[in-house]
Amino acid sequence: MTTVATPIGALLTGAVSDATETLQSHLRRFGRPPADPWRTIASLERADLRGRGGAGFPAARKWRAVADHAAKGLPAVVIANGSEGEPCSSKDRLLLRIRPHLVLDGLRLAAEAVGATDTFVYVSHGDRDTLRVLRDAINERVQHLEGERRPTLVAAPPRYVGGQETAVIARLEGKLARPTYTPPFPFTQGAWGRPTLVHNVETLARIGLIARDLDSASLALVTVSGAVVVGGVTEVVVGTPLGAVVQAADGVIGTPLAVLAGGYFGRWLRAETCWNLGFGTDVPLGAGVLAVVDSEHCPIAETARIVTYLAGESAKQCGPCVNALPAIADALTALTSRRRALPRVELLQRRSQELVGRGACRHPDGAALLVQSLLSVFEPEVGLHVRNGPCGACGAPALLPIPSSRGGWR
Amino acid sequence: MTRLAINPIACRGFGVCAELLPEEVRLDEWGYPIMERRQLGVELLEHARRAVAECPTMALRLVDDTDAR
Amino acid sequence: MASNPSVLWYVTRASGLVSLLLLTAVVVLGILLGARWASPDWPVFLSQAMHRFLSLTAVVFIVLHVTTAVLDPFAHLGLSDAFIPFTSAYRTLWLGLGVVASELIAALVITSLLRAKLGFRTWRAIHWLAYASWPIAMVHGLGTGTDARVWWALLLDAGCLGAVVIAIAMRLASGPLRWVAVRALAGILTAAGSIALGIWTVTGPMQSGWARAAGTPTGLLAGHGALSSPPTSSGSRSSQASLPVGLAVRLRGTGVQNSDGSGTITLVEEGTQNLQITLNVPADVGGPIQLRVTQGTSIVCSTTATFNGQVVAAVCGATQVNLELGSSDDGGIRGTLTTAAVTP
Repeated sequence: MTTVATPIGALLTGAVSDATETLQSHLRRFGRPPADPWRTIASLERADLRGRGGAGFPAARKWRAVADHAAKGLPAVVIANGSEGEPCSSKDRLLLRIRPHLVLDGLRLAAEAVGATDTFVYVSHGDRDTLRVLRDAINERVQHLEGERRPTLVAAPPRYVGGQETAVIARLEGKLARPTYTPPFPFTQGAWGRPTLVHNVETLARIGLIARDLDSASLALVTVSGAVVVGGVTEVVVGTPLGAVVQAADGVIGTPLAVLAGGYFGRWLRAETCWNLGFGTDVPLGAGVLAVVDSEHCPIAETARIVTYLAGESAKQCGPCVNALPAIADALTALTSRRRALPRVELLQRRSQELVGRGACRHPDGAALLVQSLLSVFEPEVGLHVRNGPCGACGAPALLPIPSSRGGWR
Repeated sequence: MTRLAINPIACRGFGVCAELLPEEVRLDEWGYPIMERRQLGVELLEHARRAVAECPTMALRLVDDTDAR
Repeated sequence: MASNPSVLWYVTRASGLVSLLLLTAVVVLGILLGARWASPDWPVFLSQAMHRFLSLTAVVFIVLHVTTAVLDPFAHLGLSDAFIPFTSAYRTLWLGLGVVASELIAALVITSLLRAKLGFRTWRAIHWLAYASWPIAMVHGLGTGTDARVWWALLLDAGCLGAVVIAIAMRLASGPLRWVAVRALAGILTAAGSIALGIWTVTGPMQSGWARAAGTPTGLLAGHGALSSPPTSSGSRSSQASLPVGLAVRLRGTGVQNSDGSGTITLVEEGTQNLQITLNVPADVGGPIQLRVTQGTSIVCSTTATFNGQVVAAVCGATQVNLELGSSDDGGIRGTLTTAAVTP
């Protein structure tokens, strides 16, 4: 059987500036969104698209589950999640700003496929530009596209866990944007008890192209940051070696020491040994974040700041997360500053190991796994810090961004 | 096929479960339960049911399927 | 066995005290649970089980307390008085507080039994009422009860208060110090409340004349102050329509044979000489005996009595009067007068 190469469905093709693509231009390139939901689901299953929000869950499986439950009871709800709480990531914001119609196509197709009567787009409330662009894009579509249902725009608090599925649903219902306990899972009982489908905006954009028989599942948006020449968003084939991804950002500045892959819930890699690893294959894609730390900075100090931030961003609903995260953050900070007593690494190891799987959401897991990867990948450096105290790079200003934790949960 | 599942949001660290079912539950340094996640044999099932009933915040339940957390 | 109505009254008192003891234990255990207190010999689940068991036992004793109080004709309590607070004629406010306390406790017990359906948050919000129900029950006991001047009852009350205060203090100081402002406020309220309770007890229920001040209907007031204590010389004298219930008075006197064959026995209360009893016994045996009871210069009771060979019995108004006679060493007559409520 001959395989026909499927045309590539890239999201960022032809994007040269920050200009928002109009509906007209979008339709000229791709035509109207397909009207056959069954065909869409089949294409999606064939493509085996994984979610691009960080969890990497197979998209088609979510659709089947939601569609099944909606058929039995209440009509479904579809939410496009563009809140992007991951500080190093900017792909979702970019996508919404320059190619909103790709996302809105995906939203429409998903709603038709699962029989949803209400759709929502969930965006950080500080992101006024994105909100404005979305409003205009939605107006365009309602005016010119037949059968276009108007999605409701929901403004989200800029909290790290605010983008978690159940937190999104809680915020939609008017409550605080905090994760809730599952079961029941959103695909059975989500917003207002209805089967709910939550998709990252990049996932939806790719669905829009897959439904048009374009291959988009093998591509991923990556945000490259840190000690690189040109930081920003690039689109790569899943499995591209990290070295090549970083070359797309015009290469590194200085001597690279460490690479953070996935996001603040991801893992550390040693720069010397990581460039051949495939992003999305050998190393999980996570939120598509690739941050390079050079020798002027200390990965332990960066981690200490990150975990302190993550501890502050806890919804503080579960004992293990509330107690262990600050303790772990303090221990890491003690390693990198002169003032405090030095922690024992075994204690740090045990606390992060015990933390996994004991919260209502995966927030503590992410922090714990980040710390564990630091302790294993940079074991010699950690040992040096324990024996000799902070290194020369510990005092350098923060390389990886740490947003303020002020502001509420609504 | 029966396991003990906990709602971490409801849990307030009273520790009654660790007293009643030490084979499955131990407490971390802050008094919150760590589950061994083992299949509960017949002899433990009664104790598990009691732990579920006695939890002051009703944070425990017994689950029959294997992919519940 | 004929039911002696004053038994009901004793049971009311006793079950009231026992209820207070049980409720105190329940509150202390509840506080220990809130503090997650445990020891190697006393795990949390034991506090839980005891808390639950003792609260159900307390309910049993409260039901007994209310039932006997209603059945006892002394205070003339009707069924509605037991359920609608502040409607009884007898010590309206203090009895009403008891009704309020019992209904709060009923709410606590019922919501606890239905906890699975209510959910933890709702259950917990209602359970805070426990901190209100206990002091109300305490004040009810001191205000309605008749034991405020009995030393062992006061000791029990003080012990209960002490136990709860110590438990609260321990709770406020335990564990990681969060909610500092709330804890400080709770501490201040507890201290202030305890002091206020102490002052009120000493200046109110422990004073003579409390029975009247508390709202005991005039007809039920004893001439000798508090009802349960042995008659003392202090106490206001008020004119009453009938003899109070629960008296036990020792009398001494003499008997005289009259010329027409009848006899007159005159007795006077030993010591205080407050009460005077005159019996006119007719010449023919079996005839009616005239009984007259005087207090000072006022006639309290004048009625016919019966004699069964041992006891002279009469009914004065709503009071059953029994007079047992015997001879004293000096050749005179001694007697014991007891009163009880008339069996309906």
